Amino acid sequence: MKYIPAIYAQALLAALDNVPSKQHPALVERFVRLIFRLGDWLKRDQIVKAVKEQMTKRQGGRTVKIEVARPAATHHIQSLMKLFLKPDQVEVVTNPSLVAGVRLTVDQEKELDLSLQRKLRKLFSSSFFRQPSV
Amino acid sequence: MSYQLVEQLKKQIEGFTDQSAFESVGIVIETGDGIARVSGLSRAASQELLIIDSAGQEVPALAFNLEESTIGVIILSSTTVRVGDRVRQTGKVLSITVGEELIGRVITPLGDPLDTKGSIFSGKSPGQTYVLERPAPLVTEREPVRTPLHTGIRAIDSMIPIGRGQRELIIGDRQTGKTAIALDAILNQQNDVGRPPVICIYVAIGQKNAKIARIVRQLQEADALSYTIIVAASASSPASLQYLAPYAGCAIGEYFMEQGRDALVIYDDLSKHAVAYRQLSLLLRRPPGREAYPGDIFYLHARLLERAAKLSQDKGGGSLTALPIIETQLSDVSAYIPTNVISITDGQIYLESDLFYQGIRPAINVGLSVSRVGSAAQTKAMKKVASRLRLDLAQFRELRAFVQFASDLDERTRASIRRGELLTEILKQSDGAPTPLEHNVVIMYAALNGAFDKLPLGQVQPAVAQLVDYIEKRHREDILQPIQTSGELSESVEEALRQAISNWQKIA
Repeated sequence: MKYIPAIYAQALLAALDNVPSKQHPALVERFVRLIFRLGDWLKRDQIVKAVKEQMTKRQGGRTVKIEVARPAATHHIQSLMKLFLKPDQVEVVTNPSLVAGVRLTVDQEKELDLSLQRKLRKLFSSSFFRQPSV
Repeated sequence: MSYQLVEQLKKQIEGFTDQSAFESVGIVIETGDGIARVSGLSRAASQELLIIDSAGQEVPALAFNLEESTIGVIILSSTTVRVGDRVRQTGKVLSITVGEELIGRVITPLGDPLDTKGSIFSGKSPGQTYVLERPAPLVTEREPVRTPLHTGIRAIDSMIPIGRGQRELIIGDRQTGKTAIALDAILNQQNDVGRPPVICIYVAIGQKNAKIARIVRQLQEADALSYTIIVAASASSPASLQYLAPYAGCAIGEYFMEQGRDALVIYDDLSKHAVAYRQLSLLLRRPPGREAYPGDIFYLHARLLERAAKLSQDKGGGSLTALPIIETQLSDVSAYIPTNVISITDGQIYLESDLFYQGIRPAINVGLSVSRVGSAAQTKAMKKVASRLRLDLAQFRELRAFVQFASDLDERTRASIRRGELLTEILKQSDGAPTPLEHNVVIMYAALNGAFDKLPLGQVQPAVAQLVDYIEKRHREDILQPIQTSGELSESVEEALRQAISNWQKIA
């Protein structure tokens, strides 16, 4: 990849700030052509994700990823969404490796891990299950 | 049976508590070739130990590059890390558990055993934790190097003496006997009974596994493993472990040094260490400098070798002697890494391929080798007998060009050439057979006082062996033991030695 997605996102948002909003569609089109010309078209999903993250951050929001062990019921998801504010970008994914429970990651920096995977990992790495010395 | 196991497990689990809270986390966004890039963890410190949760395993990693929005980490394991794996901080720097239990063991730079003797530390003897990167002792904490570290190699102990607390570089092309000199230094420590015992640490960096196995076997057969520790980061180890290996060996040596004991650490070799560091730096996109090495390549070795010191009595009086090894290409000592390390160390032992192929082994070029500590770290006995040696050999080297015209030379020149050839022959020694101090003093005394002058060169080595055997059997108590214990050649002992050599010459 020529540039990391964060650089592409930063460049796009900086360019959008410098032109009037009428020119935004044309600018975005030129940006897409640039990605293609630099050979990073296959990474477009990552670039879009980076753009969303940076836009959210600019608006004072947080990027939140909620991982659940099994597909959650709609009302559960809605109750989780109520914990966050409007500028926050919330994504809910299913991650069976959690075994049970939920894991919240905020801005890819902070994590609240309430999953069974974490408890099991902590249990097996603690002194409870240390092999006795020979 | 299974019911009992279940009950036991239940009891153990009952006491388990877990408090969840928001923690800092990073995500691996790029990985490959032993390094990874992690986003997040904005509060991570440089050289902090991180843990990557990869496929249920905890993979240790070291924060190497702190960049604007990512961290470049080096992975301290061969385990494959994947993009998306989570990374946690530990708040600790990389450290190794040290203790007496390490003696006789072969370990990785992270302290894990590589031999088949089981775990090293247990609940009863947990050991101490020593950080790999520690500051060197201050100037005020040191004292001059005075106690010799005998290698058992006559050429070194007489003309390039090494002291405890010194850094002496062993430098030469491949297959010139660099490792052999280092191993002889280890083996000789059990012969050097007149001084406090030395704990030896051999750090293998990027060496072949077969070579490390051969060294372990050699030390085992000579019963040298009872005071030796081997830290191995072989050629098949990740570059990160090859980078850390010397620092791990140094930390182990510092443990013994700070207890007031003497330790010897051998880094075999720092050329491969520099290559491993270059690999990591280039992968992490650090700007390359001369020969593509990163800009801090000097600091890499300087901060390692500065930790070898002789501590003052206030700090316990211990010492850490370092014997770094550097491999040159085509005898080029003016290359980048060799000149760096030469400028850091307190002298060098220079091995030449030409001398090796001429049969002069150890292939030490005495003219280019030096010990900056010098005779301050020599016993009085050796100083007495070897004071003329360097000069005689220097004269011989100058006159060597005239050897082929020996019949046209005056008697004095022929005598100098003859003396030089004899001394060169005396200084030859077999690999893996270091000789103790008292034997070397006897041999040098005999050689420099003409005991072997009339012998053809081919008979010198057998004659030396005969003389040593004669003195050992008949004069152990009145000649060898006083030299061994006091390190001096007193007048009475010298007279006894002179008489013994004379008697030997009559019957030989």
